[in-house]
Amino acid sequence: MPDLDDLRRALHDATEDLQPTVTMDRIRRRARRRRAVRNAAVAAGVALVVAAAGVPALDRAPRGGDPAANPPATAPACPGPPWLGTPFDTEVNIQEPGGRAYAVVVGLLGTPDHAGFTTAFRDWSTGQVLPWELTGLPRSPSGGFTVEGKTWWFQSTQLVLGANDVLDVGVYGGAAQRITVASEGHAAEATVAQAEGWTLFWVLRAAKPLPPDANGGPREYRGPERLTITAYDAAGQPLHTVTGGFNTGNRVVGPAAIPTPTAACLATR
Amino acid sequence: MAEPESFEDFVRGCSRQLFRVACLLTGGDTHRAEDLVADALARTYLAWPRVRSGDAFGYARRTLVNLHTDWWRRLRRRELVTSHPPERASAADHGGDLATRDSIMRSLRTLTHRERAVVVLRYFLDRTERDTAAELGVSVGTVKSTNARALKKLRVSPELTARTGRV
Repeated sequence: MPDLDDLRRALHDATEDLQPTVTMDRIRRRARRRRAVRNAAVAAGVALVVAAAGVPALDRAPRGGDPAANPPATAPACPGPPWLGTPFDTEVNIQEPGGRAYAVVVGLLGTPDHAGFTTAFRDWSTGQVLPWELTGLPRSPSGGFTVEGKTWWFQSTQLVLGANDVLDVGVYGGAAQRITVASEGHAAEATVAQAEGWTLFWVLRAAKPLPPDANGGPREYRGPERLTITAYDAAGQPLHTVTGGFNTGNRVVGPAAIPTPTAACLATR
Repeated sequence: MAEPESFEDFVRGCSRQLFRVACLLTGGDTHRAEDLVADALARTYLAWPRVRSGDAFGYARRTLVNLHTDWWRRLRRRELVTSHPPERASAADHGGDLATRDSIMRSLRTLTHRERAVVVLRYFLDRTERDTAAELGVSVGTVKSTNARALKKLRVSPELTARTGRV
């Protein structure tokens, strides 16, 4: 009968020549997937509400910005996501070369208790809205958003439209009169709209985009392109400000992801 | 352990040891072991800013053991799937490194997942009973009784007896 030293030796000997083939790429991929799953868990509640609510016709009332930027009145009613309130047109259009043009719209989906912020694309020719991204917004009773005791005030996404053109869209977890978005020392005034006690914002900026994997790693991105977002009250006093962080520029996407795989887009205003 | 300069350094320094632990926990299922190591390191990667200045290897190892336990629980609810169908010991088991490893792994596979985890923590990683209990989320008494059962099984295991040459 072997004694414990024999057992120890046997365990070590049996694994002595084993070599793993786990690569850093594989680890990073799994980490990204895990982070995505974690984020999606919040959005899942919203998605369930959206699914349960069915798919009503898209509200075609003027929705902020320039009414002329809204689709033509003759466009047929078309299926769209169940908006919570009205969606807002960012007045930014993207176009496939010689192909379809899309308006970028933002808004809330779901219910006041289970809301999500979405960026969507409205096909100019059909009026059909293609939701692209949905981020769950877990409402904190004291303002902002909260998950597992962590509270944050800004959630934003960056659409990369060119080497020096970005569209930053997002939501502030309170009521703000104005919001600025800055990177590399240059601030731009965002368009704002109130919804469900929060403030949606969007701004087309001439700025260097965040790297595609800026927030894909274990550390917050600290390069000069990271965003500083500030919300102000009616008196011009800052309410909250954030620089960088996983929720700021949470998703960074280039034209290839918008909204069809072949789209090489042209930003117009 | 000195603080590694980067996560890549950490992976280079500890992935082999984690893989050895994972292989023992899975009873020699190297594919599952690699999955466990990759998952444990991915979670360590996400927690890196928090754990890098502490016991990062301990964090990764605990994560790996917990992942194995979770995986086993999920598996048990469905059906028992194994890449190692039951085999009879053969003459080839008594010579060479590969045969030695197979022999030990087969012995480990006769244990329950908890017995195997206790044996690996106690005799491969040389953790105390108290540490083992904390890591597995059970009482020290459970560790003692589980360990006793495991050792009893291993002592009567024909493979392990053949490997060590004692009867």
